[in-house]
Amino acid sequence: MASVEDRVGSLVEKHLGITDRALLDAHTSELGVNSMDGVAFLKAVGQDFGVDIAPEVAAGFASMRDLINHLEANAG
Amino acid sequence: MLSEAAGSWFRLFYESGDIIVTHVDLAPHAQREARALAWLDDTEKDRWRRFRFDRPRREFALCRAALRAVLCHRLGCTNTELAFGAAAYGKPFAVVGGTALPFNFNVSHSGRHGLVAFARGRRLGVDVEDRSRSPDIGAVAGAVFGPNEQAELRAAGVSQKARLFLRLWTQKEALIKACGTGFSMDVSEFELPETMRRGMRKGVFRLPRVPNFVWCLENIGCADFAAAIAYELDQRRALQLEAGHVL
Repeated sequence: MASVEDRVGSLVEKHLGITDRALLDAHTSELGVNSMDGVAFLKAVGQDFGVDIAPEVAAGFASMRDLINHLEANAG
Repeated sequence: MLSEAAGSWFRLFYESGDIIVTHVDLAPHAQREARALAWLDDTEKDRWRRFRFDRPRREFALCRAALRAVLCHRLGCTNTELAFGAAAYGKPFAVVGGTALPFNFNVSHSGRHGLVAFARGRRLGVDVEDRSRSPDIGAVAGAVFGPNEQAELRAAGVSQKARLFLRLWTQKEALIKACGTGFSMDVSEFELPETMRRGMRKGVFRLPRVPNFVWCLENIGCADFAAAIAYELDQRRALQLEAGHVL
């Protein structure tokens, strides 16, 4: 089974058009993702992992790495 | 500096009392971007370099230079005298000669359109969404809208759904930007005034969790983009408006 990082990387590529996996460690402010795309992306992640990630929770993530760590800790 | 830019990539879009909204043309344009970048200070240039893609670099440079031009004009300072500080949640404020100034502003961009909103001495937020982009309504609505807002979206006809969605989204985002919290606030917890949901262009709103502050919400969208501003009202004016005086 694909790792959490691989699954998130695929979703980032599909929904945000970011293909460079090194950018999973970049600060979110450097990616220029607009808020509506960000909310839609979180919905897709939530569906893929079977968890709810509220926008106000995601607002505390500084990078996609923080999201990956959150999923590793909270997704069944 | 302002006269140099007049007729260039930004122009006055909306003005009412002390509220000013400038439109920024974000179409790719190498010369404009080079001119805009030259207006930024070293801290801003560092931030510009940290963006990983051309689009956010362009948005930042063109909008920040427009912001600088308007602030210098309004504050009567030079570009080199103007700097920016950052408040909680990263919201920037203007600094001249080491003093924070009571002149609030907020920036939003989407597609080819940027909006920079200004007000003297009161908090405000702005949001713009390019109508040429197709919003993923199904993915977003459940996360940000309340039960009545979602029901109205479901009931809207195909031709009206995107317009209603963008009207609600821009008003909510303008509000949370005015508050300075961004999405650290659960925006599905509150619903916009029914009059605004039904298309009124201006309304008064109190966030249920912070009722002491009163906000004026205004739909300033046009054919090309949906847009809204939210700005703080003083208590006396708010009570007048809530009592039914004309907005």
